[in-house]
Parts: sequence; C-alpha cells; structure tokens
Amino acid sequence: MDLIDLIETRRFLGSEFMMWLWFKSECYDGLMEVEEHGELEVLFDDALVLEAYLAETERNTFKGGAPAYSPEAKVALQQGKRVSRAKIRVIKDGREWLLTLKAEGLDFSSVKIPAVLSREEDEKFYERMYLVEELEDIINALYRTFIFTRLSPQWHEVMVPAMKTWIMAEDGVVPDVYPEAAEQQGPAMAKSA
Amino acid sequence: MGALSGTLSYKLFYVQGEVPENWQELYLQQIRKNAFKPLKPEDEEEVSEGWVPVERPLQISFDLHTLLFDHFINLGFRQDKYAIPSALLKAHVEEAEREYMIQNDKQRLSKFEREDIKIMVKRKLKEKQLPRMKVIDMSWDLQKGRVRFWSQSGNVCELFQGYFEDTFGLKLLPGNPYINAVQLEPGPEKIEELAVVEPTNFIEGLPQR
Repeated sequence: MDLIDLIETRRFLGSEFMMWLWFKSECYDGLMEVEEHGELEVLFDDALVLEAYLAETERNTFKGGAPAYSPEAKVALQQGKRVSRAKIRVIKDGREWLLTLKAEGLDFSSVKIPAVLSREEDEKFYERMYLVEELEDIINALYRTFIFTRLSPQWHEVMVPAMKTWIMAEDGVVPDVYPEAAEQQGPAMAKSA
Repeated sequence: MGALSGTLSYKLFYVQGEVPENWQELYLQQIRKNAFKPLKPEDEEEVSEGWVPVERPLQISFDLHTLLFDHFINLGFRQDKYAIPSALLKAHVEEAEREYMIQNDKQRLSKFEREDIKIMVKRKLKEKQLPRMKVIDMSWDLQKGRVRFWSQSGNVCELFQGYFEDTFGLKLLPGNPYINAVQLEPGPEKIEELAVVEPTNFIEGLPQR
C-alpha cells in the first residue's frame, strides 16, 4: 500500500481517537493525566458533529449547551454515527485553549489561545506560536496514548467493551468505568512530535 | 490574518529532510525566484501565485529581516485570479462577434476568428477589473520541522505543498491520523500494525466499512 492509500484508509483513526477522548473525558469529568503535561482538563464543549461512517450525508450537528452529555448525541452514537468534529476545551495550569478538532485530518480550527501578554509584534508572534505548540503537544500526547492503546490487544479486549457499555447506557449517567489499566503509553518519547 | 494575528485555523505539515547549512542564502535566493508575479491583462495566464512578505502582500522584495522570525520563516502565499463572470464574458463575446461580422460582411465565423475575438474580449474585460487577491500565511518552525499554513482547503493546501517543495527542495507531509501517528515515532513494528489495522465496530450488527 502506498503512502496516499495509507493516509486515505487510516482516516477512521481520527474519529476513533475523538470517540475515545470523549469517553475518557466523560468518565473523568474532563480531568485527566496527560503524558509530559501532568493533570489537565479536556472537555467537549458546545459544538459536536456526528456522521454515519458509510453515508457522510447522514449527519447530526449539535450546537449550544453541552451536546456531548445530551441523550440525542448518545442516540446518534447508538445508531453507529461517529464523531467528525468537536469543539474541545483544554485547561492547563489555569490557562485555557479552545479548538475545533476535525477527525478526518486531525486539523485544528478556530483555536483560541490563552491571552497573549506581549505588546511587541515579534514577541506577540512567538507567544502565539508557543501557545499553539503547547496545545498541539497536548493533543499529540493524547493521540500517542490512543495509538499505543489502539494497537494493543487491550483495545479490543478491554477498551472497546467499556466504550460499548458507555455508548449503550440508556440513562445517560456518566459511568465511572474507564479501564485505566488498559491504556498503553508506549516507550518514553524520543522527541515531541 | 494568520501567523501574526487573527484566527488560528490552519493545516499542519511535517517537513521531511534536512535544512542545508547555507540555508539562509539559499532560501532567500529561492524565495526571490518564486516570489509573486503580478498578473497583467495582456497575459494569457489568469492565475498567478507566489511568495510575499508576511502581512505585506504588495511587496515582492525580500531580505532575511522580512522573513526570519528567530527560528521561524514566515511568508505569505499570494494567489491572484481574474474572475470574469461567465455570463458577462459570453454576452460581450457575442456582441463582439456580431460587430465583427457586420464590419467584415460575414455570415459565419471560423473557429480561429471566434478564438481571437474571445481573447480580445477577455483582455478588454481584464483591463477593466482587478484580479481577486488571496493571501494565506505560512509559518515554518525550523527547529521542530513543522509548517503551519492558514488554510484547510484541500486544493489550496495541495497547491501550497507543491510550491513549498519546489521552493525549498524539501518534502512536506500533511498532518492526518496516519502521518501524525508515524510522527510520534511508535517504532517499526507499530507502524506495520498501523498499516493493517481495521476500523473498530462499536455497534454490533452495523457495517463498519
């Protein structure tokens, strides 16, 4: 398989990552330990889009409130729809980022970074880039945990059954059932990617 | 809007290959060579693209000071396009054809005459309007080997990718679930597993492919 095929046929990993992140965030009320970043909050905010895997035209768009916690979004998941984009709030050391993450390309859009304090044009740019990079590194660290877990036997044996229980839960109550032990971190990172 | 201020919606690319030792001199030369060239009404081309200094889209002169921000290279990717509405063009061409036939006492026009008239009409219309300008910022972090490009349109990103590769002689890989996973350096075994991994079936009984 050439690189183009690999890129096109592995796009489903983006929506699986976002479903896993949603599940984890809901189980822990957003509070989670992220490799190299410590404890921080990752919350699904007020916009969420779910699409049918085979028929992308079948789409549910939720705006306002907390759609990730709504019964309607759960019903969409139960119908087999997957996350195609979501607004996500990341809070670390009192600083807050907001981004729309798109599953297909793992692209960031409408990113809001913590307030930039510098006044000089050059300094402002460096600060913006530093804050964007910090957000990229947080999402990358989460993606890394997802990838190692996804490629381990623990995914199908433990994580997927737990996610299925969460998807099918009718009462919408947040289940404290996240199988922490099934997570795989992989070897220490050689460099931040 | 983009690198220095405004909305942060961008496409991330990973740079493949090493930056050469004499990169400052070499890249400056290459950027000048691939700088934006303004369109002229008499040109056959209706689209032109190239580099401009970031936030100075009307300038096409470069020095290291305009593009180098510490370990970042910041540039604007400018694309100008003449956009003549097709209905307007058609009406003007038909009018010009009628006039030509009357003046030359002709009942019919050859294919070549029609083409010439169309070119002439297009040029006249281009003289009356300015091309549409689009400038998209790019910021290349030389230390991390990442490029942020302030557009997520597939066509524009593809055009930019080719232009970047031609200018700097380095390959760009667009961020996506597969490339991002490989960039995390999970090891050769995991990369092989990634190539064969199948979508998860979260709901029994529903097809996943």
